[in-house]
Amino acid sequence: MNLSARGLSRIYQSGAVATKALTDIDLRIESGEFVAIVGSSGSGKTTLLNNLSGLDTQFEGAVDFGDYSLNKLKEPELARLRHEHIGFVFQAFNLLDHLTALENVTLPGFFGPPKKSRSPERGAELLERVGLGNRLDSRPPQLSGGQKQRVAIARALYCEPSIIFCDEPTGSLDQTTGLSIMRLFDELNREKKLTLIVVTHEPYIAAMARRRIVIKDGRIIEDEPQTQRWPSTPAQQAEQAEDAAEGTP
Amino acid sequence: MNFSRFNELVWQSLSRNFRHFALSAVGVVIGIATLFFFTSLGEGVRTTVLEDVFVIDQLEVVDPAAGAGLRAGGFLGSGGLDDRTVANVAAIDGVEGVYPKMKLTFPSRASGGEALVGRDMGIEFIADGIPAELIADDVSDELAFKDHHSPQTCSDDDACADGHHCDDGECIAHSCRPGEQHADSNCRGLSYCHRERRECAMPIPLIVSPYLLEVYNGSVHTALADAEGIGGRLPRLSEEILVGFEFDIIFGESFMGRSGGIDSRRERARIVGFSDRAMQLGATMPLDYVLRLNEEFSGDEAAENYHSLLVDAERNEDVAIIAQQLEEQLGLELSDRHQQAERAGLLILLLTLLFNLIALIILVVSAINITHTFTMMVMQRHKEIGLMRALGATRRQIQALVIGEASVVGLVAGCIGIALGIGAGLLVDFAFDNYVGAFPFKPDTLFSWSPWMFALALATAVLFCLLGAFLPARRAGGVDPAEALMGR
Repeated sequence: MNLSARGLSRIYQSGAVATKALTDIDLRIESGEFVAIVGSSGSGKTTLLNNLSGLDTQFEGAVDFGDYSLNKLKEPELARLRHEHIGFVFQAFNLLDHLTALENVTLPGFFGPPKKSRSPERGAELLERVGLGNRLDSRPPQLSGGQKQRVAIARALYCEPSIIFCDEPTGSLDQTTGLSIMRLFDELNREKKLTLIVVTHEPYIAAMARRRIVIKDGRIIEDEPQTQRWPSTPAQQAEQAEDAAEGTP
Repeated sequence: MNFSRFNELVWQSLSRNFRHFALSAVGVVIGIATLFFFTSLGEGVRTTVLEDVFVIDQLEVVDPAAGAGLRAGGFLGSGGLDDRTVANVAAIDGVEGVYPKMKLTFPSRASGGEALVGRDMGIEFIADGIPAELIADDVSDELAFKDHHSPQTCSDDDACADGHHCDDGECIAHSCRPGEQHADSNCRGLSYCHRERRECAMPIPLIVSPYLLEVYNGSVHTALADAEGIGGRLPRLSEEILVGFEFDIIFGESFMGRSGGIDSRRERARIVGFSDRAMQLGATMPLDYVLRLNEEFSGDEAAENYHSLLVDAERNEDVAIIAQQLEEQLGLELSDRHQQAERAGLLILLLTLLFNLIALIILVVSAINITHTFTMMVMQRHKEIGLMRALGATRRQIQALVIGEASVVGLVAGCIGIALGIGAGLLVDFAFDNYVGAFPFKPDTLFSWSPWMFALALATAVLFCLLGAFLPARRAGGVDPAEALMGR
């Protein structure tokens, strides 16, 4: 499903003080795109993600997701839309520590109608897919940051969404782990034609997307397709430096 | 949301926060234990008082003029309780049956007891009469609470009482010789040879109130237990021992005086059963005996006016209205027993309500505690709730989750509270049984545990937990996912 915003503005009101977080955003994202939204801290990129994903519908203008107009949906309809079509990956992982990895992955299944496809077996398959097939019963405190984010990705995939919103998905990870997570996103985008929208403030992460939207002071100042550039990991960089010193190509 | 999966989610949350939930449930446990304890105690005491001490499943009315001599009321004036009154009472809506009662109006005494204590004893005999059909369920057919002395029609000998034969359609007593061995006598079965008439006769059937037995066992027997003489040999009595017991009644003569101008007469009587309908301190015989005896020893007028009427209502809920009509329209007065029962019942009800009020106060405080605990937990789980909303949970599902947790807390707390209430009751019963001496109507248990009490206790526990969780649930449902996930 395509996603589009027209005249999207968001104002936060705190007492008499009004803060404009987004101003007149026009945007269209086609199904299957891999988009990075970049900007400095406070530029409005997370607000934009919240508005586009229907987490926050207190905006002006319109956001359409397929045939759904987000700010016209009633609360249960919006919840159902999020449940069936949208996945989320957060910087802080947002896993529940008292649940196992598998239970975290299958958590979204509690909130929708029972379906055969939403089974523990599917949860286990997804954990296998993200490389955690041997950690089904581990609880989040027993996992590394990268493993937690992989669990979060498996959870986002559990209800077979058509779009995944990622808010600083590598923000809590070291560069090597962050790169592996981004490679996983890229694979999902290519294999499943998943629409991916990644909010980040790190340029090397943004460089891995095929479209880059730059946002500043609540406005889009740049929106261009780009050729994916995959940086080498620090380990690779160190290896390359060592090779260079030894004179090997 | 699937119910079993919802339960799974509730249990996951409960097991994670077990300590918090357990602490918040302590108040509910105490409140429910208190509520259950006092409700079952009140019901138990009420049952004993109103079903054994003061029987309230019947209305008994008396003529106020007969008691006060001055008070007249209603259109009946002070004419007494005659057949016309019976007809008027029977005409009241909701009245199922009216049963007149009449007391013996002349002195009598009883003599006998050798079979029980080894020698005959004498005692003043006080009795009244009621229609035999009123206590048909309380007496076995074999012993038959009926008028054996009125003329009986028959088709053959089998239709007549023991010691009688059928002659020309009427039961005729066999002749006999007093003092003859029972086995050799014509008086077979339950009949005996009447000393003066020299013919077989059936003993006058009597019923006795369980109250009298309780007073004897609880007071007389206890007081005389260590006495010298015959009093010290009095046995503890039971219904089984006394049913079938025979003794003589001397009508027209007592230790205090005798009927003027009429010779006394000796008849044999047999206790045929026990009934709450019987006179409390005396004995009760079929009404026709009393009518004939009063006419014989006190004159025609004494046989025309009843002393009280027992009134049965079609439905229990009609009793109050019928009582009001009896008093206001017919000028009759409810018997002292009924008024005592009402007062006792009211007193017990008030005491039960007072103690249950304490229980309710505990529960209200518990509900406030639950509100506090759940509010804290909703605040602690703010981000978790935001995540669930992001994953597709609706406001209602989040509210249901909190309400579900409160319901489980309420159910578990209710069960523990009930168990504690029963435990406390059993402890009190044990102490009551072992450390409190015997007294009339001392019950086997002070408590009455009915299914409705269990349902009430569980429902109250869940209700107060739900009340406590209501506001936190609303708060949880109102969590904004975007703000919660951004840590605001």
